[in-house]
Amino acid sequence: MVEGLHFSYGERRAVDGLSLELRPGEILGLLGPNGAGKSTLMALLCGLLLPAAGRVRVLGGDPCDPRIRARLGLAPQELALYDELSARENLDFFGRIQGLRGTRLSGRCAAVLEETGLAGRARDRVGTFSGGMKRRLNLAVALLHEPALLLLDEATAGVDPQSRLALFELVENQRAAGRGVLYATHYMEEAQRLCDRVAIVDQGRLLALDTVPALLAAHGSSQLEAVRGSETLHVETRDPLADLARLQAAGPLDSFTLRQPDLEQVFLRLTGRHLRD
Amino acid sequence: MGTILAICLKDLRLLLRDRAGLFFTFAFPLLYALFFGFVFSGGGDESERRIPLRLVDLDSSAASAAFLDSVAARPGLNAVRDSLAGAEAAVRRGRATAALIVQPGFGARGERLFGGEPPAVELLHDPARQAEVALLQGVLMEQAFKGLEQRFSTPRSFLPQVRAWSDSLARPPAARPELDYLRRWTGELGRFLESRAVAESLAAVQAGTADQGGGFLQGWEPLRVTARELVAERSGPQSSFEISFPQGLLWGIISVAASFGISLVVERKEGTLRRLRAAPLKRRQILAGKALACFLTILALVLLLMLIGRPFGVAAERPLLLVAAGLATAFAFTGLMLLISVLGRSERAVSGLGWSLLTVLAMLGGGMVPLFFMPEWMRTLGTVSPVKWSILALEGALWRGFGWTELLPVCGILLAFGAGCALVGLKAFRWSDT
Repeated sequence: MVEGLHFSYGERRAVDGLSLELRPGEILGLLGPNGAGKSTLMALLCGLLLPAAGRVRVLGGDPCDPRIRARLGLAPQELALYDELSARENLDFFGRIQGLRGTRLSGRCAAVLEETGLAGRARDRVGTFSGGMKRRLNLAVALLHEPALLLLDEATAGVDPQSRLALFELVENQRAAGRGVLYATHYMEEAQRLCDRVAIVDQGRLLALDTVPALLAAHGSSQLEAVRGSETLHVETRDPLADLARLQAAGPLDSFTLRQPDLEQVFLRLTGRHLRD
Repeated sequence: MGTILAICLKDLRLLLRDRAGLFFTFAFPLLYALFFGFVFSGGGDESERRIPLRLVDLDSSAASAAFLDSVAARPGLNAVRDSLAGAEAAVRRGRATAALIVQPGFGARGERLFGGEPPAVELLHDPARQAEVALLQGVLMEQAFKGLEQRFSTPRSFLPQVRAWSDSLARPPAARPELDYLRRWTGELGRFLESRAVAESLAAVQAGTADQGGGFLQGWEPLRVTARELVAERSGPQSSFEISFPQGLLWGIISVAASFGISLVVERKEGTLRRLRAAPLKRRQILAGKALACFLTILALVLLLMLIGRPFGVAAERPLLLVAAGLATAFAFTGLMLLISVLGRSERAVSGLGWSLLTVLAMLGGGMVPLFFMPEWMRTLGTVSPVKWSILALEGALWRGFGWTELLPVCGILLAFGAGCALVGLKAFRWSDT
């Protein structure tokens, strides 16, 4: 939970009065363009940065407390792995760092390698892995010590569709296991598919926070596109059937297309900019 | 402690996987030490250390051949028979230090004593090799005296020469009192040699062998020089390897300090440091793990070079002193590694600045050119460099004959330097990119 959080890099405000709360067993999406302050918020939640103002409580404690950190799993945006070590060696090292030893360590290494589909490549150096495999291993390291809260920062950046689906499955499994997940992304499709609730952030501020249907209902509208002869009509509508009937009454339509609202549209409406601007 | 060890082992494993890093950490210093050790020892081949000499016989007599054979058998000379033209060409092209030319008439002149032209040899030499030529002249004079010794100790062969010489003196060109004395002396010498020859024959008949006793003129020599080996107290290096190994070692240690310093920046850049910081670790544990890996790598390097150096004569009389010197050096450069890691934000900046700093320290401290070749002010300036103190500590344990009294202050300086650098480095270390 964060409350009234502020953080700046010099003159530039990265987090500006942000407040939000993650519920147990929930996937909370953090949706915003690059530079919106998502990674800074992640760093504040891990205790890597200290807020200039406001309060951060994670799992009921201070994130700078090693006991709290031991219950956090971070998969940073950059692939924080040692390319010269094998997948198994990376897991072994990070597991020890998290305090795992002996059979628990070897058991967890084997389990996450299996979960991420990397068991067959466990002895290969990470430098020989594809981008998707590295992403999966990056997530595997975060899952190794079975944290109560997972912080995933752009977990699917630069991966192929197949690896992306595998990663989605892994994240969904965490929810099923009752773990909270904070999922930072700038892909609205991911937020829409995975997240129970989505926080839309821009320039360090929280613009909206709700379930996807609620956000769409509150800030989105359907797009109706109708063709009459050589004329194409664009109508933004909250009641597509009524508007279609109105257009038909004005003259017969040759065809029409109805587009459902999405988070991109919500973001555009809230900020006046597209997510990928 | 388990966490620090885990970080340390990870860094050592990363070093072992990095071929280039491994080469510059272990192989390069070894090659440096061996290369410069061989260069300054004048090469490893014994024949290359002997004076190259060409021998030319223009007399072609039994005496000239015997003389040249005796010269060729001398230790310290690499003598080869040659023609006059070949010998001149060899000296001119620097393949030989000198050419010894036995002049015509050498054998005939040699039969005369105290009169006439002496047997002559010519020493053709490179004017730039005066010291070796002086040595050769000494060798030639010694050989000439040995010839004289040989004549007096073999009366049967020397007697006819003495008689012939005595006859020639019986008809002096003019009345000269000194020739008269000389004639009487040669007459007495002839009688003496006759009696010696008779005594030798009798002894041979009685004992079945030549007379070995009596000793008079038997094995006569003008001066007997005997050599006895005595192990000197070690006040200087016994070989160039005792200089080149500590220097090579320091270059390896410098490479270790630079690469571990840079690796901290690489970890920050690649995000692994962020992951470590997000783990339940204290910052000092992360840096301690890295420092321990650096420290152990330096110790491994010291051990490796000292083991390989043993066959080359690089060995400490008191190994504990060497251990202390190695530990203090490892500590100093581990501290320096932490300082290097804060010299810049990027890998390139830290690498550039780190290597620049280390190169200057190596230059000032005698890592490139031994300090005794440097002017006084450079030697004074060198006191700021840990390279100087490390080399002094290692050389102190190896050949300078240091005891604990001399070594401990040097180790103290190294420990203070390492602690100072570590404190500055820890204070200024940037944990994040931003």
